[in-house]
Amino acid sequence: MRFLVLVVKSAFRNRLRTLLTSLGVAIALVAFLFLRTFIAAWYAGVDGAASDRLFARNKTSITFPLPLAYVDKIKNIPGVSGVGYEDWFGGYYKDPKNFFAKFAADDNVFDLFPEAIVDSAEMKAYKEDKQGAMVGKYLADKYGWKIGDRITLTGDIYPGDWELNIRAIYTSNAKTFDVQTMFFHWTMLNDRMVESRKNQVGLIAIRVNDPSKSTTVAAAVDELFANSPWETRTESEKAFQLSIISMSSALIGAIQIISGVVLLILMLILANTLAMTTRERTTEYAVMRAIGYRPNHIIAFVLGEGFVIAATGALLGVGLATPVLKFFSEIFQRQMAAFLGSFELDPKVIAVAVSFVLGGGMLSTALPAWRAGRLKIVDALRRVE
Amino acid sequence: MISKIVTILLGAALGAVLIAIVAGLTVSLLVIGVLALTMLVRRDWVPVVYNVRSLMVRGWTTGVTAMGLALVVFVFATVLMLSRGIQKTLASTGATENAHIIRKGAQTEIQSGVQPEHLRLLSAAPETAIGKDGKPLAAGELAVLIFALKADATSGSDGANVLVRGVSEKSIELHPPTRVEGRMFKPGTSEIVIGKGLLGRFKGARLNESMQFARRKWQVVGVMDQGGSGFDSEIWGDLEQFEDAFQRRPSFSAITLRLRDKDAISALEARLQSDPMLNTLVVKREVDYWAAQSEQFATFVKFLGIFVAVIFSFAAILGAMITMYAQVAARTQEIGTLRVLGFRRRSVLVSFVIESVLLALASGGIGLACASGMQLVSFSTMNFQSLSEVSFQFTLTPAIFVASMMFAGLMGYAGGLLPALRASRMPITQATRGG
Repeated sequence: MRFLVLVVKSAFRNRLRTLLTSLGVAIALVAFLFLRTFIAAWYAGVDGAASDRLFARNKTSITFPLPLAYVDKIKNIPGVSGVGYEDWFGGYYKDPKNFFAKFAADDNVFDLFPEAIVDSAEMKAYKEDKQGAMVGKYLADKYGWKIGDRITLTGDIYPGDWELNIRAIYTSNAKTFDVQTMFFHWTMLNDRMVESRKNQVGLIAIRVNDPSKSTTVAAAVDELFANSPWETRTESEKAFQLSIISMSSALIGAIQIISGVVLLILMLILANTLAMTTRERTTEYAVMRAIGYRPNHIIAFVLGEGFVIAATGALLGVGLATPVLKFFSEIFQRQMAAFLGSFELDPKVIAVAVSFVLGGGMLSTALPAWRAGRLKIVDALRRVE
Repeated sequence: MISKIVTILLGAALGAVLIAIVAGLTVSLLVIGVLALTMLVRRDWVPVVYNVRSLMVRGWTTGVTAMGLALVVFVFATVLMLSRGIQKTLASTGATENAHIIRKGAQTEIQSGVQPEHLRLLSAAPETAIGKDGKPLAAGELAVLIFALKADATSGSDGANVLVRGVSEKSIELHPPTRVEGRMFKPGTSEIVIGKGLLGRFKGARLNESMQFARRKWQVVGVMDQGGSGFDSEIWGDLEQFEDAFQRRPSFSAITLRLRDKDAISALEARLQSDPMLNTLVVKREVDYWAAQSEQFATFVKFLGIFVAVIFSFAAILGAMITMYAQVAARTQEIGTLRVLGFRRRSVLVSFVIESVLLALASGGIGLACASGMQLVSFSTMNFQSLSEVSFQFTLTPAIFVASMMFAGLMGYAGGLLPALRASRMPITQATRGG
């Protein structure tokens, strides 16, 4: 107990320096947290992937369609318990800057996505209205949409104006499930297509009975359509999400490196401060050694001081993190809504960040601590600073 | 609800603090600038060599602080270089004399569809230049994305969307490569040419190897150099072959044509709007189309990077501040001596500020030197707007150089200001006694 008191008191002896160092640690923590949350948001789709879901797309690339006829053919493959389909609509609402995912999907699209929660009356209304739209709660809140509102989308892949009636709002309890998407009826899209573009879908979702057989089923689907004009590539939802992420792998890699650099800077600041502190206190440590403290005690003092400063900084950082991240999440949501999941502070990420900070802090104090422990009493007392 | 209020309050408090700091720094910078000028006139500078030597004496702490500052400047400069590189790559794509026509409403060529009829009409338009063969210099192109596996892919998911462009002889004439290692593909065959940005990064993307897509094997007979522009990340092949393979016949994605003269673009725009057969199309100068493709992505990178750099800079400033405070604390007797010799408070103040700024500028130089080394590296990732993979270079410009050095200097100033103030306000008696 006395040891703790001594460590804390000596840490705050030079209040200004400790405060500045803690602030530096806090800022590094906020930056680290931001970057890790950013990356976690990217991987949200992967984390939320269900083990019993597969996605089939055109083998050439996802920008090519598949015939609607494939859906029924896939239903008959052994091991398949459900099939759904959707088509990426693109387009925008009022302003190209308002970017969110929009899909023209089959009526039972949520059958394959049990994570989605919709009121059954709203779902019924959605199915009955050919021009109905189902939107995620986040979108409804952001644009102030209510059930019954009529909105207009401007298409780019499918040009023209598209009028929809908001009939249902969905939410989810699963943190990784995207509540920023708009769905409307594929039939509405198909009706307006020219003959050459009719009866095509972009993505087919498949549910399997037995997750352990998913690779077999995927292979069976691809086998069925091999050598046809539209070959498929079927993969687990996780693999599918990973393939999208892998396109930005360089960017993600750069951000990972930067988050490592942040830790490095943090350690430099802390090491710098502690080196200064231990140098100033050489005489004191010598006196302590002289009255009977062992080198281990000295090392413990220094490490303890480093820990106290790092912990103060971590506390400060966690406090600062919420407003800073909230601010930046608003900005990034606008730019990248379709690619990122939710940009919220996850307690798990905070815990990881704090432990990294504390660990890095301890590591950086190791050298000054070790040097302080190795001090020869005689040499130290001789040095008058 | 409460958490929202708390967040807003905290955010406001944070914002207020930041504004106060920035305001304080700006004002003090002006004041000290004026002070320094008056000192210059009256010749009571503390010799700069004193600062330099002091920094070198405490080598360890100086070094660590310098490393931190250099790191921050490195990140700052690199990010600006990347953003500039993105803009340069895509903005330098195409020629100002070329016009690029796609369907109205499409954000990118990949979403666009134009018909052979459109090409016929536009070829006959007076705004279109006539080529050497006496025929109009206009061509249809097909632009699609294929999912290509990366060269080191361990699974079928490790790939990227690469842009494949079906071109004809005229297209090649409209945006020719500066060089082709190997040779250009022969029309009517399964031969392709890849941009140098793709070389070695995807399976089969090497000279004399072949790439598999759209149910066919395509032989890579050449690697083209398009001067570091967007075309360097594309695969080019015969238009007719691609129309079949991708089942797009008879439509194209876009039409490129050579304008008769630079001003013909407005006439062409007017023609597109007034002709009912053409008003589903929209025209841009080729360079403008490409510049627009990079806008969002370049802004995103710049924004992300500057955010990171600013946060880093706070940490670096704190590091510099800690170091300078320690310097001041260790040199109290020297400060006392300077005062006794007759230097005024303001000379001491300016001297310490200069020391901090010098340290920062030197670190900045190191950081910039490392950053300029990044120009040897190329960065490839997906452009969110076009969904295709593009390769970018890091580009160092004089503007970035100046901005980075100024950033470094500012960090040094911000870090050194408060300690310098403390040094200058020390009473002489206390200072000579040793603080």
